[in-house]
Amino acid sequence: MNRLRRSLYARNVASTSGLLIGVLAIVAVVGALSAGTGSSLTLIIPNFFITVIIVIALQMFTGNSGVVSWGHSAFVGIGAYVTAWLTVPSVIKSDVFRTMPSWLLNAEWSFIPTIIVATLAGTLAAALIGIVLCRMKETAMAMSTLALLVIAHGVYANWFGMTRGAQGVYGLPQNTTLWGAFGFACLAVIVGVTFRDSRVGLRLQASREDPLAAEATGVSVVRARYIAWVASAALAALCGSVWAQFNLAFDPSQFYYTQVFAVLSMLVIGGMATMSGAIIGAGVVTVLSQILYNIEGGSLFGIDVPRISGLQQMILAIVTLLILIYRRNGILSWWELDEWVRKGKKRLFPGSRPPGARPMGDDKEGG
Amino acid sequence: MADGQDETSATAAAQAPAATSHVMEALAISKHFRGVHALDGVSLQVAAGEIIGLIGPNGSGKTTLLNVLSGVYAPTSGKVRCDGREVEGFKPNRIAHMGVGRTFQNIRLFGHLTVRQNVEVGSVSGHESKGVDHRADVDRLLGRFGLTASADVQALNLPYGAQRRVEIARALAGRPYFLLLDEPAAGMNETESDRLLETIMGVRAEFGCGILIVDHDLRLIMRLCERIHVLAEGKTLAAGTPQEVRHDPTVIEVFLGDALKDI
Amino acid sequence: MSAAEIAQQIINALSLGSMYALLALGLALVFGVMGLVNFAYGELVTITGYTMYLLTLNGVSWGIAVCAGIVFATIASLLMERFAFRPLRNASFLTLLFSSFALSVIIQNVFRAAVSPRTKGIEGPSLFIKAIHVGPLSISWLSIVTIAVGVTCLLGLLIFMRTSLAGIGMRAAAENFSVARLMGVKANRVIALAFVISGLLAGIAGVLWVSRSGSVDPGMGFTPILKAFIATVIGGLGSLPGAVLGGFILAAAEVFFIAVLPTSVAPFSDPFALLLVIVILYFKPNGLLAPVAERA
Repeated sequence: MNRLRRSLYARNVASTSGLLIGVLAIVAVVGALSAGTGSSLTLIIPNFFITVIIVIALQMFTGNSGVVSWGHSAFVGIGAYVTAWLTVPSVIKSDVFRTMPSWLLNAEWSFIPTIIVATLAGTLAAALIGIVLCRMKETAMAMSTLALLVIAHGVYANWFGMTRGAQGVYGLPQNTTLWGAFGFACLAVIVGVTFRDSRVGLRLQASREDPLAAEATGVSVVRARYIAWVASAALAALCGSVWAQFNLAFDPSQFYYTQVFAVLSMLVIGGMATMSGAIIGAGVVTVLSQILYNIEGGSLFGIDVPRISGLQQMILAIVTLLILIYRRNGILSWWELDEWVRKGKKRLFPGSRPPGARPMGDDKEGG
Repeated sequence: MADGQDETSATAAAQAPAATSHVMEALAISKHFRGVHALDGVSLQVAAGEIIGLIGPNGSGKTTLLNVLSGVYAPTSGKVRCDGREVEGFKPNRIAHMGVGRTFQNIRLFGHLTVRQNVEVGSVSGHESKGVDHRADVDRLLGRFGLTASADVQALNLPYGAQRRVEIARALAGRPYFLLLDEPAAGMNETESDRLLETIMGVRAEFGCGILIVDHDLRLIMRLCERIHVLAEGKTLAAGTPQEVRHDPTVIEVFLGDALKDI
Repeated sequence: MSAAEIAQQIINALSLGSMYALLALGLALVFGVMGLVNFAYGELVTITGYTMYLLTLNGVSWGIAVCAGIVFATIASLLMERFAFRPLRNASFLTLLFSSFALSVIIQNVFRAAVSPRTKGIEGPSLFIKAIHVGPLSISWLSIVTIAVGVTCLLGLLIFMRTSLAGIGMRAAAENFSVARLMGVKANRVIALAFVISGLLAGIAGVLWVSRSGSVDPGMGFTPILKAFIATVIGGLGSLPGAVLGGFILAAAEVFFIAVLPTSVAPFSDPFALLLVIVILYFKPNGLLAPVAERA
């Protein structure tokens, strides 16, 4: 994609993704060190990386277009189910999938080919669905993604022969490792940042700010949304595939509004306008969830606490609501992590202005 | 013209679109909204290099006409021709690709994008966007409009006058043949609108586009435009040179005569 | 199908439709005055249900439990407006939508934690199970009550909106909020009134809903809001008569869909209805009954 290098304080693909990947790498190292100690980090950290993939996918679409999508979980589901179809060992397949055709029953694919096919499946579905959805106006499209969520869940929960319905799928092989998940998370970061700094990304963001002005400036809002829709759905399907091969079993409820809400909360809390916001949101929510999960389990750092069912979800929702009321654009607001760092440096070394600062004095009337 | 302008006439000429006769026409445009006749059989024409003024009392249909020309509305009847091609009913971005740029009555910038990014959108989405050095173009436009210092400021943080300039720069970034300006002088005092006058004449000289300007500032319009088109209640009241329009009795009746006398 | 069967299904559709219409109306009312699709609206049904459950569990009579349920739903609706939505008054449509979603998650989990995550049965008056027989038809008392209550509420609301000052003000606000304000209609009062009526409708619909399902569970609010949402989209967001019509259309579609199609396909009735919603939104982004917006 044709990138536009902007000014000295540019949103620069290398700088943004470099810093973010660096942060992720530190987390990965922590994860690697905790391997073999039996700590729950061996589960939490890879899952965090997998979460990063879907949050970035959603940021790519919703953050840049301003259109909330409730429906990306449909593509995560496609990724997961296709992966199950391809990787569940043949011996148990016929138990799990009653109406599966025999050529699929015999399939036992490996990690990367499965991921590729699962991602393509999700991409194809999104390409078809997007033809209808992306032509709608913002609000109608958002409502339709909600409809898509319920439709997809209905299919997953009721197509018993191929999905085992509400009981869910099991038996997947553990192909995803800590470093595999890390690698895909880094891939997601690079894709997301590159998209945002490309021409299409710029046009899409323009459409978010003012769709009418964008059209009048020559932007095809429909086309920009469509490209983002398909690309983000591809990432979502990828996420589903990687996730399925880590968690080994799943059911349709994991692609329904509870999970969707959790991911959207991450975007809201961290700030949906930026990649860094997405990741930080994912981090905050993961840490918070873990703490609350321990509380729900009855103890926090060894202190006994009464069990409260649903505490995790409730606190998360409260935090989200508070952020919406008091800091509407999320923790990071409009600037990426590397831009905040530069802002901080400028504050320490005054003399030049950081990105986004108000102009000093009156801007001279020019031309 | 104030700071930042350092082009030679050679580069200015290289920037101007080919000096062929680009013409944009509105032919008997009518626009009805559920019983309200916003426009009724209005025709006008803008050619490359001309500056045409569009005036009339509030509600006379000026912005509606601009919206029809730029594709925001499809006319109920009538035709819009851009270089001979019928474009009425086309979506705004298609019309933009035929070389039409515009600004809006209530400034419509991409608020959270930086000034530079705003202009860049125009540059990469314009009708001649292949093979163009976008970065240089944008830099030049920013310099021309005195926006270099605030290039990386989010557009919504700019003072009003600067925002107007960003909007114009963005519209010009697409190298349009025609520029439609909707009340660019709104909220400006005499000094500011004098500068605007110079800016617009400079734009015409450098970029060679045909300019259609809607405004209530009659002093500005009379001094700027070669021809003026007067609308009232959706219909053409009068059209001609500023002199002709100024002395037209029906125009005087619609506008208070004194307003025109002072100019 | 025989004539009797058809008549039976029509009655089912009317009964279900009355419930959906009440729900849709409540949702549309709030949308009309505030531009908010209130996702937490379904939780008002949950609140009604749990109030009734807890009261009847402790020996309170059904009649009083019903009244309490409706009252609590109304109060909850007002509280929602005052504390969750008023601070967000000028936020974008999607921020409001998302906040209401967050609110609904909070409320659901309050019940999950405070009462139980599991489904609890609730017994209505034995009258509801009985039916009257008119020729070959067997009409349950529940259906009769539902239709009667539904029609009464709709008529009452219609009279209120047409004749009372408050009602007229609200209709004006629903049509065009800024103009109404300029003409002196007090914003806060109109919005509060909308939430009160909306809460009332949710409470009444909630009583009918719980009587039908015979149970309460923390997630029970999702289905009502989904139905209400579909109905308002069909009828046109912001159109009050549209919401009512949408409710009946949806109920009719559901009833006949299930009656006519083989049982294996029946679970897909919700997805199918939503597919219809997408198609409608594609051609008419403002709903079936709303006028086509100018392209702008």
